[in-house]
Amino acid sequence: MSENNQLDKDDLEGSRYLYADKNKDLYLNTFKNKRCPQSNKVFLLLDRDDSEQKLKSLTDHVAQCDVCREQLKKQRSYAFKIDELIPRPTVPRSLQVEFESELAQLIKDFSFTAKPVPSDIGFWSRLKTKFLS
Amino acid sequence: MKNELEQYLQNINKELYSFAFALLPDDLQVTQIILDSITVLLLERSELVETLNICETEEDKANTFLSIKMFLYRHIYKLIDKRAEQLKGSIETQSEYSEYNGLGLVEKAVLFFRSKTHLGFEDIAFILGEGKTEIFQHLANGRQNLALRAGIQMEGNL
Repeated sequence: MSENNQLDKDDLEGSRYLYADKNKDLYLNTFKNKRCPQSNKVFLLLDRDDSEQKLKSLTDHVAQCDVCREQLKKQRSYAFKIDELIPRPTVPRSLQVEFESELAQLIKDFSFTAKPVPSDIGFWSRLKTKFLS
Repeated sequence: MKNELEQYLQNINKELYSFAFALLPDDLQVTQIILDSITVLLLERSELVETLNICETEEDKANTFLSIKMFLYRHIYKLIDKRAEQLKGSIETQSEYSEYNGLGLVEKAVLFFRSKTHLGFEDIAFILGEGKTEIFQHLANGRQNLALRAGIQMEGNL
């Protein structure tokens, strides 16, 4: 869900980045420090922080090379299987309602006591210790 | 201003809840941990919340909201790290994700972020309080361990 509750547009945008990012991960994990048996090309210098240019040279190569494409296909299948083992994002509706009600109370409490009066200082100090120790 | 913050926190609850629940599969504990993290935010980073009042552009506001979200993720992780050990044995884990639930906390966190969100390595490193290099390592270990637990035979690393 987007920060402004505009689900469709921002969710699609998020998915696009997620897809691009995961694809990059996949390419790097599949080819980093490996040699293509067909072209003898070595992808030694490739790393996650490398430029899009370097990644493009790799993806261009994979597009033309049957051996590398097969390797990528295998890795993609493993990645998909692993992805399925990781919990999907979820929040039960009943808990969302409970959360919203507790949150409203919390925000209200803090808006009334944003600046503690001297008699409250002990309480605030205890509260800080409780949460931050 | 408070209403705007409240609306924002309501909107991101799904993201925060999903992350927390992936690490600690107990819905009531997770809801409480998120509320506790928000309490820490209001106590510790009131200046960040107040910044929302003086943001001149939408971009400034978006950045402030992002800082708030990162702060909350970080504290949710810290609280779960503390409570997971205390609650060990009393949490009924979902059989659907038993292989994932058996992993270490940091591996679960990195795998979840990389698989289900679009957070970058720097953001993940900030949230988990580690360096980027360690995050790469946790990701590689997490994938290998998860594949091993699920009986997925892999050629090479993933």
